Amino acid sequence: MGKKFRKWRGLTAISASLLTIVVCGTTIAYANTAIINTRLGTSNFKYVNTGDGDEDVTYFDSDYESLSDVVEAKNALAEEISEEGCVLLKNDNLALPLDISSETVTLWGLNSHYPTLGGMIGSSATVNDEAGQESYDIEKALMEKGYTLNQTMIDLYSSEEAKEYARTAGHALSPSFGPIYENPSTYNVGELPSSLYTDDVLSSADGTVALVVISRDSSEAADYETEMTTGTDDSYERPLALSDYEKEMIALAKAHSTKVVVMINASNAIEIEDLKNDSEIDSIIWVGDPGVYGFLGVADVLSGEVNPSGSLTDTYAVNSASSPAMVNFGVYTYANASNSDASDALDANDKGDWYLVESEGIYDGYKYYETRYEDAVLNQGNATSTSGSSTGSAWSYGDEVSYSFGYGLSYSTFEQTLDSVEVNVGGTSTAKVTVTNTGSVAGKSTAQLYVQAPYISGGVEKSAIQLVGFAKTSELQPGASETVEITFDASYFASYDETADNANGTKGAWVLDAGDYYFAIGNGAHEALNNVLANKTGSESGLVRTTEKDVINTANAVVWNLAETDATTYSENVENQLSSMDLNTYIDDAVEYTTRSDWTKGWTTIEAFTPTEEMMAGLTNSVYELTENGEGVQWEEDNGLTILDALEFDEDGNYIGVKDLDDEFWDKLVQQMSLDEAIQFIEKGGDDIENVDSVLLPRTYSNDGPVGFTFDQVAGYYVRWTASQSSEATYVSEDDEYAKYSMCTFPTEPVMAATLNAELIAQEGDAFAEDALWSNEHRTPYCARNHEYYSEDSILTGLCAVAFCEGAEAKGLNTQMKHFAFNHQESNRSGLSTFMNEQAARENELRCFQLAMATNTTSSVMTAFNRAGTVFVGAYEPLLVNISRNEWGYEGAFVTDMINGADYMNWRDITFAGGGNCLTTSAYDTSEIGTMAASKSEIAKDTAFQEMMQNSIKYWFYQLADSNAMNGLSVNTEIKRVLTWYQWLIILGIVLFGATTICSGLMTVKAYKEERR
Amino acid sequence: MSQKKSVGFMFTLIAAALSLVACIVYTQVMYTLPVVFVFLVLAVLLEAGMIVMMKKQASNSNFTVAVSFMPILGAIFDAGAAGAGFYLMVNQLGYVVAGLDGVDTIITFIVFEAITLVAMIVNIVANFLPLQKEV
Repeated sequence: MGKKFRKWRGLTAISASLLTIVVCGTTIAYANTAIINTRLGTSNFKYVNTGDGDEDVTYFDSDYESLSDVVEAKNALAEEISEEGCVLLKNDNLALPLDISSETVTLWGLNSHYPTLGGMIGSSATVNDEAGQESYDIEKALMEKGYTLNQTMIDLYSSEEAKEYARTAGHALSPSFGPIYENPSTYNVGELPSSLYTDDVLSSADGTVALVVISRDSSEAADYETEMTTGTDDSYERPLALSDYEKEMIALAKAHSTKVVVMINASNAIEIEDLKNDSEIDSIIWVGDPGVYGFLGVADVLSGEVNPSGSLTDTYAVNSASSPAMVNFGVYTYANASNSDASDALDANDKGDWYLVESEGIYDGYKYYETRYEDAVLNQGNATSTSGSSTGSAWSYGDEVSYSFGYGLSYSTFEQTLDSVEVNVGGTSTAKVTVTNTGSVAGKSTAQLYVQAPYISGGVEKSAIQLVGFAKTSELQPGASETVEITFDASYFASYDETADNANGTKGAWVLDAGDYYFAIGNGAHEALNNVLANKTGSESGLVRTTEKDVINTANAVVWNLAETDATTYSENVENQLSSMDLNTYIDDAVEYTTRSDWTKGWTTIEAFTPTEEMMAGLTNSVYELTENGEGVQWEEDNGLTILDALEFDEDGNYIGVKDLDDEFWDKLVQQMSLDEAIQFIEKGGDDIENVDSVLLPRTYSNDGPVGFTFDQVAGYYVRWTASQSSEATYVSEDDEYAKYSMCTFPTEPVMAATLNAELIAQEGDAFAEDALWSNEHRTPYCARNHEYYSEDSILTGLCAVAFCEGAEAKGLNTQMKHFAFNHQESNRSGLSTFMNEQAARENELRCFQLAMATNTTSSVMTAFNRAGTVFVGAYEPLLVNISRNEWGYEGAFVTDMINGADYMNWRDITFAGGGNCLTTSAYDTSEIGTMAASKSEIAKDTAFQEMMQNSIKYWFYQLADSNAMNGLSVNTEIKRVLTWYQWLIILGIVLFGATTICSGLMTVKAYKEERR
Repeated sequence: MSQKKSVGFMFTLIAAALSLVACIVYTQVMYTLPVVFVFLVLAVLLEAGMIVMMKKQASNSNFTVAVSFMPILGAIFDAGAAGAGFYLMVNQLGYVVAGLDGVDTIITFIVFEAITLVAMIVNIVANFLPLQKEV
């Protein structure tokens, strides 16, 4: 054919190809509308007020006049949290505080130049440099606060030569979303070999104060592992132990300084016994991962501007791998894993190859070390056997623990007296503690209340000591006193007895055994236990002090007696629910649990085994099949309601909340939806709930970030650019100086918890609301995501969560705690079968959540990636319905974590088991069972399934109605769908390329005909 | 007078070969969408059909008409494969850009996209060139 034909054919090919690409782009843009709109500050909806415009439609208002005020207040709060979160562990020779007017500081350790501020992925502490937002690492923070630093050492650490040894941006962990069949092999602590410290550099440090930074980083989707190696010429016994390079560096620091202060920049408890016992190390201070502004607060503590008042949220063990929990931590695969040669092998798509058995029972963290300590003191339960001993000889507390949970010093001294304890089973209990500043420096002090419940050998397992509450004083001047009140609930120290007989013939109840309960205060769990033991035995003989500053005071332990065992007060609707999580249910004696009746037990690693047929049913997924049943459910009812009709006002017109959940209003509201809307709501409403026009629900988004809304998802305050939100209190104009600032700047959760200051934590929740939660517990120090969880203790974790949620929800921000539940390791978290006994599950992990869910302080909960036993935890009815709803009375919503095409997380099982919305990605469309939308006709025949859909949505509506999503809306509001500028651009592209394709196509045909003629 | 294959045809042949390679590469991508395979297989079958029709066009003039327009479809199929291929990988790209996952998880995808887009461009170029010449 001729040139003319070929020219038009070519042009047709170009325009048709571009048209095809634009059409595909349209689909992609549609599927990702939420994040695109968030990034661009656009919206597809416009609120139109058809009334007179005089209504007050701001149900939750901001406390600030401008974004700059918000940012400044957040920065100040972040600094304050870090100040109060600093934990002073050692301070010999009054080495701290520093006199920064006369002392020059040499920062030692390459990680002083590359510190870790937060975690990786969702918890990255980020600023937007381009927008002028400042971030403060250690050097910058100290200089900002007027410190004189040794520049020669900074120059060494800043050099290209040093950079070769450094962690990248403070991180060396390698997060992985994929399957792992071997434990991670390397972790580089990022320290320099001593050979790089030249004589000039060393002499520059002479006569200065050494501030030695020891750091370990944190990350989602990663864990530490005891067998790791550095991958460099450096070496260590364990990654949480000091490396040779670190020891060499510390030796140099000691030799070239007037005094040595060690700063621990880590969320995972590392091994510091040698530093504690080293007389040449003057001070040790833990600062955790303090976020973007936290080192400013740390600087104030080092200089004495602020007196430290933080307390450890984890036990600092001599050997970080010495607890029974570490016997089963890491990568364990079933004998018939998909990579095995077994004939009945699991399928890789089921993500069921891995398991974790928590054989330690309730004895995590201090509950292990302190309980074994008591039994060693009382010479019971073979506590002094060599089993689990770090030294290989008889177990001794002094050989095992450096600093106990709750420990922390001050620049001053405080005397605490336990004035009274009033226990009210079934009601609120209180304790009063008088705190006196007996030192010479003003400061705050925290009263920590612990309890020891009566233990009967061979009976229900009980920790020898457990935290039940805490209260922080105001700043006390020298000589000043303050009496603080600690409120607590007796349910906090009830034990779960799986063998208890219930009146209805079932088994399992919360029990308060008859006997003496010892309430004690102390600087940490160990001091409190010593007070109990001294009181109980009338002697200090055999008691171990972790430091010479430990005080034993029998008066600070009081006895409360319960005459009769109480197994009913906290057991309404309670019975065993989690037997399917206990491996012994399937295989007799598969697990030997840790027991204080014999400490030689519970030290066995559960090696590869073949799951039983019953277990395989869970491991091979989809349980619920859609069927044709029932009479159908009501959809698209014309009830004339909108979600705004749920809002209730007092006689003055002030918003006071929403209708009760048991009001039939909610059922009628849900029945107004169409089945399509309901499918969209559940299938796509994980983090982006589209507006539901039938009930006038506006579009809402969920975003994560334990240190603030994540920058990579939200992209800073300019999320508030949306012109349609210009009437809202939180609106930010595009040209606002702070518009592009990142919001994820706060200290990590352990720092928050270390403040033991509920008021401060609530303020952070409030700050999040001005601009979303983490409540798993620290099972072991090796979970690299511990930085997103508060502590190793369930009560501390739960109380922190409650405080944060109260602060956030008060301003209409719906909070979403996660990961519900048992997400104790990151390696192979997707599909990991997690086994434990019911007592451990309830008393440790679930109690963290129970405190917030049973009080409905949190409005929603995100389920985890792992399995409970062999069932996906987001479709585990015993947990979601039987415990959460029926026992706790939880009225919030559920949502899954990200479903990436994994069929074990499928919408059928999730919905039918009482789960909630599905956080899906486009990869979800590859699920073998297909999408909800594609199964609409089958769903429409399944009445039972549709009822569960409506039930799930009802909880969501109930929570969303009581949120700041209602701001700007009234009964006179209409929501109109509009196109954004980029959607118009796509349409223009389709029209343009469509037209050119048609025109050039016609011209091609015409040219063809002409040439044929 | 008979028809002989020309340079344009060679381009379509190269494009089809690239589509076949892309199809194989796509089997190794983290998340796959069946329609992408459909587009790529259609691009390869189109080329096979074109070869068959070229051989039989002497006996059926409709084949000549069809052969003249087929390269346009080839470009469209490759464009469709490239565009649709993005759909499932958008999230993964986001994870990598955000630092949540390693670049290794999308290398195969990038290779696939590169091959498919090159195939599309080669097909477009073929449209500007004679497919066959009279001898």
